[in-house]
Amino acid sequence: MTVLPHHYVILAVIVFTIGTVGVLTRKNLFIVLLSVELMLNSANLALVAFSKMHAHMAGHIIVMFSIAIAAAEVSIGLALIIALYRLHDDIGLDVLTKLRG
Amino acid sequence: MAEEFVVLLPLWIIVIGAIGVLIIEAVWGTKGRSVLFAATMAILLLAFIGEIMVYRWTCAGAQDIFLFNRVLKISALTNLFVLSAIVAAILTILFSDHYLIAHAATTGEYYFLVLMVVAGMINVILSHELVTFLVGLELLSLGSYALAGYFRNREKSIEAALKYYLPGIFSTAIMVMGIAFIFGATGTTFFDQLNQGMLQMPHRSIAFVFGFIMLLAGIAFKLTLVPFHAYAPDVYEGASAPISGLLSTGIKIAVFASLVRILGDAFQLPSGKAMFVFLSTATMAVGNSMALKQENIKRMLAYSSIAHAGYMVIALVSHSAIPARDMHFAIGFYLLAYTFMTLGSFGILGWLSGREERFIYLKDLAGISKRCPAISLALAVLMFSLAGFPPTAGFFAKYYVFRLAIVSGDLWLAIFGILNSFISAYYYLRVVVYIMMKNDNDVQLPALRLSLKLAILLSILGTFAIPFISFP
Repeated sequence: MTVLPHHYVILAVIVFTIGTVGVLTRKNLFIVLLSVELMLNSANLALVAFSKMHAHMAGHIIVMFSIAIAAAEVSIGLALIIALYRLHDDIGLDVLTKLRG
Repeated sequence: MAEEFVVLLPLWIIVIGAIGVLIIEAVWGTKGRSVLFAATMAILLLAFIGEIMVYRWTCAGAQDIFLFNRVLKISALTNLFVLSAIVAAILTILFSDHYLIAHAATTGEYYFLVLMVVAGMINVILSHELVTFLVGLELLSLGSYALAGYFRNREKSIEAALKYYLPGIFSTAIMVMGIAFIFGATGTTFFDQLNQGMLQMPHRSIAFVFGFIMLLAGIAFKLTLVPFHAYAPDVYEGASAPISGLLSTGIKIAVFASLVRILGDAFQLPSGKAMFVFLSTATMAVGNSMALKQENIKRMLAYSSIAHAGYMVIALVSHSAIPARDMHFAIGFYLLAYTFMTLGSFGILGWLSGREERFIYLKDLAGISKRCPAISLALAVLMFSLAGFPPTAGFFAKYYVFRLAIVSGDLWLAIFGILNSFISAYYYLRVVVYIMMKNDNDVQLPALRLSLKLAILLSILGTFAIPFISFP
């Protein structure tokens, strides 16, 4: 059986779903960040597969931007996690209870 | 190539100026506080003047100009939105001056981040291609996450930043996937080629619709449209007041501008109307009904900001039935009016709150009118404008938007919006009532700095003057 570009799209959708479920169900901030990374990387995979389908380089370029964006996002996230840890000695989402309406 | 440098003048000024601000901070440290403030203001004023000159050079935006292989587009519409974004930044910096001194915070990175957020806004407004839009949106978002958590020793600030950051990156991931699907369905990411690409490959329309919905979900998150609004009250309450103002106005300016262009240039979905009707009615209803219960004024303003986003979406509902010019004008005017009123209110609250975040509950406002009549009058005027009383800008903004709904045949939507404005008058006027009440608490009000006086004056002037300005 040959592997075609659209198989990669299906794989990307599966990984994206796993990432979404991870973000919505997990309480540990690191696991949430990792799940978002899964979602972003599945989008990258889909972009490359679509690029192959269209025989068009644009998808590859978009992936470069997307990776840079993901790296910048994670660096801000880690800074926030460190600040949270200094205040609470804990990085679970359960400590975020100060702001309620 | 020369054209790129001339026409993007405001963007160059802001980006290079932002780096300059960091260098000043490194050289002078905390002693350079006033230098930093003056430098940031100068950069923003130069950018403002630069944008007006660009407007002249491009013959009042009569002709669209494409830059960098068509990834950026400059038109009459973008000029208006870029000016609004710079005005929002100027007001934020003016209000921040007092706030940063009162809280003994370092200023260099703060001003740098605000300038980078503005650069992101301009990038988003000018973008004519999905990836440029994404990069600009990230520049804007990353800066605002950092600004929301700027006071990192304050529990509330860090919590607000995380509550902004986590849904924010989640929505970004969804948006990147949406862009991937749109690219997959059409083979292009340029706004004006998407429709054509779509027509060439009708068998991929399902991927296209999925991609569009995911992209719209990410945009709706930034605009705090229901059901993507839940983060807004927490974030605006926890972040420092001037930053809450910037988050609720500047980001809306940028993202609404690009949403208008995406809808105008790229998508003509037949079923799009029902979706926007749902978004606008749900956002208005939820924002206004939740604001009624709030005792905390910052939270009340957050829900009011959600409700105002709902009013603005009314103009988008009829985007295929009315001339694009009218819609651009209505939304641009609404955003500018909204910037003055909301940033002004947040700024005054930031001044009142002092060091320990006092004065953020309604009852704490009692008796302000006696100790500081000028400020309380200003706050009352801003509240009247937010509620939409004539002759303030808030009234004209709502008038233009509701008129669009009536012209395009959605009379009931206009009536729904007007009913919502009546409800909103209750909670805005409650603030005025509390201001006028007699006081029994004698708290010392902070001194009025010149920058704060200027900022309040500017927001009041804007509230009364912009109905007289003629837009392109």
